Amino acid sequence: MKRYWKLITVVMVIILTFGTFYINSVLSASSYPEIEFEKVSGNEDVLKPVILQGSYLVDGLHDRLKFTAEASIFHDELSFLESLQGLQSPMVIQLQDRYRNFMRGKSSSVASFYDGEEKLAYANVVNQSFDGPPSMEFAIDVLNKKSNETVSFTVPVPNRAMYSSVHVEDVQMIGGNLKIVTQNFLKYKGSGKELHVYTFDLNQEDISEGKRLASVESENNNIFTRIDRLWEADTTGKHNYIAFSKTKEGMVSENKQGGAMELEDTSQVIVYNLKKEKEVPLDLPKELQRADAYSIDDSTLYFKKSNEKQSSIVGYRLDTTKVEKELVISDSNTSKMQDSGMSVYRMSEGKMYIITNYVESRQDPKIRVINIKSGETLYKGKITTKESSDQNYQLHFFEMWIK
Amino acid sequence: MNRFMKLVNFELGRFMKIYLVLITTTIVVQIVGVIVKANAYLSEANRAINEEMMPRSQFIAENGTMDFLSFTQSLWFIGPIALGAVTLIIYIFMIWYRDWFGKNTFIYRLLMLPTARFNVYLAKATAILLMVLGLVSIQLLLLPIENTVLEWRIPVDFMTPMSINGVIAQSGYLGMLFPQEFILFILTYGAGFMSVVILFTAILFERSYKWKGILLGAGYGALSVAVFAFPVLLDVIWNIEYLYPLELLATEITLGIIVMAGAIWIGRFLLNKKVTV
Repeated sequence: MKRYWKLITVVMVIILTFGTFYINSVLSASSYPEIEFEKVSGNEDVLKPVILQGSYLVDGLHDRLKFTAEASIFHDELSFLESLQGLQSPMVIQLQDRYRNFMRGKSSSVASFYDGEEKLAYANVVNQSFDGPPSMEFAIDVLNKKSNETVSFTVPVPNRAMYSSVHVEDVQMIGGNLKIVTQNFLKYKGSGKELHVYTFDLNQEDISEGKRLASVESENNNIFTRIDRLWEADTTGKHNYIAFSKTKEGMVSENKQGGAMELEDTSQVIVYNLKKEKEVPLDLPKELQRADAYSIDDSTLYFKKSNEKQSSIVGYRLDTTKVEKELVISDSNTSKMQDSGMSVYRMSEGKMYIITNYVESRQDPKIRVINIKSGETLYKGKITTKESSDQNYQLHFFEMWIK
Repeated sequence: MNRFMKLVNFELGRFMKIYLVLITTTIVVQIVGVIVKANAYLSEANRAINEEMMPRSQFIAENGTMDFLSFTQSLWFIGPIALGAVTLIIYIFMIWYRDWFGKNTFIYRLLMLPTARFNVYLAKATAILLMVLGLVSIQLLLLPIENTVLEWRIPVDFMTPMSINGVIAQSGYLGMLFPQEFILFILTYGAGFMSVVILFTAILFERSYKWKGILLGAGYGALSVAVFAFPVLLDVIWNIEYLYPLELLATEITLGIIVMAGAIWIGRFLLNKKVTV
């Protein structure tokens, strides 16, 4: 035994050092706090299906986290194996579980999928390059859920030389045809953008029709344009309407003395009926013309309206073109704190979920759940650390899913 | 088993002198480095505050506080680690070649031992693994010591205290040497061991076939790397993302084991049948 001292010493040092190290890291407390909902009023059962994604910032520490009524999970706290899976949206995770083989190698953007009763469709634009030869094409895969057969094909994007990139905004199957709504970024007209809808004939495996829905131009480099899709509860499901808000910022014009005068940014809402293949004419009342449109469901377009006295949600019915009930979501005493403007609104099963984030540190985000029909507040509360902390932390939630 | 342990012990003994030099150098250079760095920061602070009458807060705003993480990025710290790494890499080759080119043609005696020649191969591989882990352990033991020395030298206002776990988490390369999770430790050092046995087998190709052997060894090494990296290359070069992340991990582990077993088996074959003494 004595003759083996070199071997024994080396092995002992290794085992003791690493053993202590790993036992210590297993036992040591996480530097991240536990987060929880703190009720002000209402019924916390409505929070059960809520999944939030946000970020936590404190001196020297910054991390993303996923938060539900049951637990808060920080990305840094995930084990190696868990961190491989990444933070994906619950809808994509569900699809991956149910259709494992079909989902291989597919983009994890929810907008690329249509989950219908009989078919699961996927569309993405591939082979995009900013400076190479224009070779971008649609990659389409449609799974027949009953027969388990997949139809796959690619089609070059029409007029692809005009675009620097094309993004899929929505995929729908209507009447046996595949309809894909895309936002196309123009190559040569500054940062101009266009919305298109392409109809695909699955039998011919080709585009049968392409239509331009809308466009916003940028005449020079100081003008910024954006087209944002308004949130819909059921992105992967069947919906007849799709809505966008078109924004143009940074316009300048000459005033009488020849100097530059900043023009107000413009923003316009476009609603398109996918089934009828027509734009829906909007007859917005004056109060809504400057309001922020943020979401749509199959019958109503929702706007955020706020002034010094209150913030509210206004619904505008597409079929009757009339304003529906107004839902007040906060009144003057709570509006004193400056909210960061990044509120998240989601709707599910007749309830509206609202998260309001604040700019100042240690101002916890607030959550409110409202019954859309009755306007009754079902839950009011905030999201805070379990143990009170004197550190200057910032907690923001920027994404919410309702299961 | 006895013979195997004897051989490992023997291999460790042969290297012990250099090994102790590496350990001592690391300890001395790093501890001196902490003190030197701390003093440099303090004298800079002294000069600015006492001579140029800069207020404390301004000095801290401009130069920042001292923290252990920045020490781990300095040459005083990295130098000895690099020295140890280079020495061990060279020894992966020397552990074999010294037996052929030493003063007494030692290899005769080694291969004539009444023991399976394969034990020699395994003993050398194990010795290298233990030497690497030993050096890494010493470094791990040094970290809290050096951190404490730094905290002694720098006054509280000028120092951002950091826990060792925090430093390891934020430093890319320290995170690789000391993975935060045991499973990552197995994967990282397992991959390292796989590389060592691939090199060993390449060396044995050279010892078996001389000049032709060098080509065979290099080719074999390249083939092993290609097989192991195949699933990752598919994604990086051709953009084919077929496997889910966990599946990719399982595939890579399996390929790693296959490549490792292949290297050991071929090495054993070469050592038993082909090596020229």
